[in-house]
Amino acid sequence: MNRSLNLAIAVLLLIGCVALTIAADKQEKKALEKVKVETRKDSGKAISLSAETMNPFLKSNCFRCHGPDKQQGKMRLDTLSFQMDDDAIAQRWQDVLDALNAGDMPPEDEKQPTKKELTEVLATLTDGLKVARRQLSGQGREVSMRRLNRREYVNSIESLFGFRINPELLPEDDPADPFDTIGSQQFFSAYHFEKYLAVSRQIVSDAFALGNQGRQESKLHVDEPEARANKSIRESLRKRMERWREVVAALEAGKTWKDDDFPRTLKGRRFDGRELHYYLNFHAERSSGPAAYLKKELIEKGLYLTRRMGGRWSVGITRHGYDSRATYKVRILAGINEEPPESRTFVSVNDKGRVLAPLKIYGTAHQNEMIEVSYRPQHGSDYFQFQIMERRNEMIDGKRYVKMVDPYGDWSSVFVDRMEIEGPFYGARTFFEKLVFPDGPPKKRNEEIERSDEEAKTLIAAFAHEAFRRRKIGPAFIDRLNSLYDRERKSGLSVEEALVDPLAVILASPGFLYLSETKQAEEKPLPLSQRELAVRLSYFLWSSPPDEILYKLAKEGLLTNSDVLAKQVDRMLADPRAESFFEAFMSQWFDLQRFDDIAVNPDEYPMFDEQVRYSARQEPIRFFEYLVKQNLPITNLIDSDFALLDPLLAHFYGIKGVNGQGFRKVDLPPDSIRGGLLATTAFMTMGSTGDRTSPIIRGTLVLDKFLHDAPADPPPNVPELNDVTKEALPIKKMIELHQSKAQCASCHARIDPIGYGLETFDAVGLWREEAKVGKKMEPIEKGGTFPDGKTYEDFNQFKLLLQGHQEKLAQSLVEGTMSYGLGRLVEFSDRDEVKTLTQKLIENNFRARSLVHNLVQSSVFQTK
Amino acid sequence: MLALPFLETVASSTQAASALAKPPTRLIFCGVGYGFTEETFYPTQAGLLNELTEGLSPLERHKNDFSIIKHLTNIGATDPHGGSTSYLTCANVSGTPGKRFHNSISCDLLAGKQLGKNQRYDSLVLASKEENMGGHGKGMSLAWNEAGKPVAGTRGPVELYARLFGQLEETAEQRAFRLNKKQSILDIVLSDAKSLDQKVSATDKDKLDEYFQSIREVELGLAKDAQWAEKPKPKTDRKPPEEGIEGEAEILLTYELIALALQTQQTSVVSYRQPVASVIKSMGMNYDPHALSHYGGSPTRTAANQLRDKKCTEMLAKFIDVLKRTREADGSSLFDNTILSWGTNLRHGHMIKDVPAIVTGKGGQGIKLGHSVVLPKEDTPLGNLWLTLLQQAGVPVDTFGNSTGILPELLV
Repeated sequence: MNRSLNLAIAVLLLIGCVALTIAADKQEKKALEKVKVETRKDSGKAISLSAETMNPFLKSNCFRCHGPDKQQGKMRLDTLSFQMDDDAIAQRWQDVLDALNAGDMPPEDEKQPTKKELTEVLATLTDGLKVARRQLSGQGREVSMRRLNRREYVNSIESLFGFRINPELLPEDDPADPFDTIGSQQFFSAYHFEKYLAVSRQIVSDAFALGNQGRQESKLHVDEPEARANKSIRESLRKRMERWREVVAALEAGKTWKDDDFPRTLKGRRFDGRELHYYLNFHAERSSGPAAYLKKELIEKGLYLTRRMGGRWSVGITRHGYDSRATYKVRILAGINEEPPESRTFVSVNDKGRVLAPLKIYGTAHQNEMIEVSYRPQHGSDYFQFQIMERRNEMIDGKRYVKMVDPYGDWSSVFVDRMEIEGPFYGARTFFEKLVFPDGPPKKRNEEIERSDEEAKTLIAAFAHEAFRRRKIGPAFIDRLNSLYDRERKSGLSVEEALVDPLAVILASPGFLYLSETKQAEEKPLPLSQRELAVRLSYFLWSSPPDEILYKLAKEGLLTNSDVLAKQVDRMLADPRAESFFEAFMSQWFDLQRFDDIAVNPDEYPMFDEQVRYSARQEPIRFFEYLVKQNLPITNLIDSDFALLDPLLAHFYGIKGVNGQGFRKVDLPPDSIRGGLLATTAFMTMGSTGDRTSPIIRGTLVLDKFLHDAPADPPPNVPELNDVTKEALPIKKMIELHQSKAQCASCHARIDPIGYGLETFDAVGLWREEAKVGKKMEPIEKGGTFPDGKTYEDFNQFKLLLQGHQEKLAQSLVEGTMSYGLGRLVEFSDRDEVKTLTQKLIENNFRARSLVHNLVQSSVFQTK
Repeated sequence: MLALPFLETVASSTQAASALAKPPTRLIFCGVGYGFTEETFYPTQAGLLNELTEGLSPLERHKNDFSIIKHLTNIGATDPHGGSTSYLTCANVSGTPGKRFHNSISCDLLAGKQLGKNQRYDSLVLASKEENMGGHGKGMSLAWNEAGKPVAGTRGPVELYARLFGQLEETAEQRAFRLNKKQSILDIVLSDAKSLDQKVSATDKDKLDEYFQSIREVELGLAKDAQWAEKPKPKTDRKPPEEGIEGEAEILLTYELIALALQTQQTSVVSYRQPVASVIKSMGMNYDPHALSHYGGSPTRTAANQLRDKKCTEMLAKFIDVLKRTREADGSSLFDNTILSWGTNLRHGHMIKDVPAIVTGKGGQGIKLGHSVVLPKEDTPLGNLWLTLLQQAGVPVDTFGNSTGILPELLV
């Protein structure tokens, strides 16, 4: 799951490893399969390299210079143990591996090992060291204290105050490898402290301001875009035509743009020759210009979204004074103008650049349909600024885009009659409201309620208690907060002003920032306290603190009751807060960060735009959510007879009949190539370079996620020579080259054949039968071989072969949820627990919900 | 870009006594991220820099004033995609017994402790707002502290400008109140941390130690704040930068602000982890940095990577311009008193041997400029370069990271 690992591997193939012989013969493959690392049953014992593989190689290639007689470079290998009990031994073997990988040893003028020998030894060392490192760096399965990541911080603040802050205000999360919940990989520095303190001051003073404001009445705000828009269009038209007439007159008078008194552009710049040419054309043709717009039929009723000089008209609505504690309803009354292709019937909606969702417009310009979206604004600014734009690839010039997708159509495909915002709609009173404004907001809006210093101090203690997730707090801490309050008061601040810093400091204290479970040093595993279990559970499934129900059950000592716990897990998974789990777990398990990082080439894939990216990123998450909510087998991740799609993604995939807005389950016909996680744009795009497919990344991802056999990190410094051949090679040819060098083949013999089986999907996950090789198209050979030697003919059989390893996928998800939920790496010594949980999941017919239930009920989840 | 005349206010306030004394030696470390095109960036011959490679060609006007060094390798680095994690530390990141991850103090902070003692900032640690895209790997900047923990950098020109020239308007009394209050806030959070400390396991102790250490750092900052509070920050004619400057413009602006920071003697040591993805974007290219660094086999990506190479050296050339025209109190230029190291921990693709290393500036008077320096031994530890530069800047150290000695070949 290490991102760098997978990406890195991509390269080995595409560029490098240019040895000259081709084709790995079958014998070699067999030899590779034999390479096994022998692990001892007793988890306390170290991993051992296979003497059978290592000895002959070392004898014939190494001992002469690194043996009993000579120890060149102070390296003696005949006495180096195959059993990697400690770091020193592992490091020695690492040195050997590095030297072999770099081709430094044996020296050039010595006898060289055969490729087969070398491949075997490299594989043995690579795999052995991978395991040994993991084993040697084990931390005794201990869950360390961990700091709230951005998501958890935002949610925790919301649970106290009722608003969601912008996560970018917070210190950046440490790289998630593999999950952002893992405490041992987090750092804390002075910068973090200062940042948290500054953010929490802002939060607390905003919360007082909102509290003093009270709650607003819900109102409907209607915006008719045509009045404003037409006025600006007419104004711009008038100016343009005026200037145009001046330009024409100057030309008729025999002047050229080089003359000093030639009219300037509207922006006051000189024309140049090319610009003038374009300018004259545009006004002569006026097909998409302002004049043409004013001839449209319904301009008095609404606004046509159209391009204007490369830019676009968008419908906007701005409204000040929203309440970030509430949700709003945003409505759009719109329809389709004339009969554009389906790709032009989508709009993107954003608020100050924050994307809400791609929407599909139904109805016609004459007969509009109303779309309603529920919107939760982010805390931090005090106004909405919604914009609706026709969805298109921003990397491509608008004129070129319309010519490409709709050459004979109208410049405008979407007509918007009206936009509405209704709200605010509030939920239950927040913790902070109840604590600070028990009798409701002040009678006089925005004026402080009168309260005594005693009351203020009670409030500090109560706030700390809740912020620290109801942990017992020592009196020293509270005393100090109180003296800070007193000091503030003495300096002349009002009660509320003096409360800001004490409350803010609580939010910058370890008690809030860290999830920790009390435990004395060197103690054996202890059961979590009821409260600790509630906290672990709620951060696992909600990335939030426990709610009242969980706290109550914990207090009554009922949470460890297995039936009660199971009921709670079901309740929590049905709660909207579980979105944190679906999103955060799935996006990290499936490495969607990689998808976010790929820049797709707009010239090759003009229809892959930001809206498609938005929906494609959602697909695996919505799919996983569906499996959990419906309690379907997780083997659906390999293949399924349904997909979770929104209208845009369905359109992108060419699947008809998906209507409405947002994601829904779509039944797939039997011959569909979709279904499961592999056949998605998200997966195939992350398995690409953005302009072409990368079978290496795809193969690595399949090995990692579905076969639970992630290849080792790519070794550094394996020479990446230039292509020996100057002409372009089909991917298969390049892969063959890859297999021809031992340093590459030791891992890539496993990786490449798998990735190659997915070549029928292009770099954005659309089906293809042929691929470009150099400048010509060549048919893609389907079919290949799995690492276990089984062959497949096409993508369907490929998925069937994967289904033969369902238990691997189960293990991959078991380890993933365990690591995410516990906030620690899964250790070598967790093997028994992992095995048990995997076995249980299989016995539960792979049901997705069992994945969660089994973990939560396990001793590993309930101990510290 | 602005010419930078010597600021009178500086002379009067911070160094009146020594206005005509020789300016201090400055050290700058720039980490560019990813690597450069093998075929067109790196010189292959040793000797005077006559014909520059295509990648270095934007540095033509400065070719007598910089050297590029071949055969340096950061021995402890193993992750080709974690390019900057141990760039300035030369620690054994993944091979340290019993630890999944290990790091140690970076040479910029080490130098800063010496050279920055009497300045407002020991050293300036700069980074950008770019998250996780630069190929820099773990860490928040190039700097790591004594405990091997990452040090956060100032993120972008707006923050940097505020640090250099932002002035709190407060009376001595207000300041005393502010500093006192901050100290009592630290005492509060420490008391909470201590209450946790009594009942946690060994690994949690580490976490808490990290927390204590951070609070101590804040305290040290307070102490320095108090010490410097009387002395106003220098004034500048340079307008505050606006939010949203990214890519090439961000780097150029940061270079300019670095020169201002050094000229006004707010610090003597700067490290800068440069953004990568936004530079490529600002060049109008749609590649993610990683795909670009693995340009091999694709003529279009190779061409794009070569453009990036030249953009990087073009910006360096402009930086040198700025340093050359920035005047010091004694009439010399900042360039005369600065040692600037510019490079990264990655050659190209997955090659982390023989990393690109450019040294410029006349601050280290023993440093040989105008040369392509080819070290006699392949895989000479990168630590040797840092050791050489530290010594040239007057930092008394005999060894750094995995160093085995200095680089005599780089010295005249």
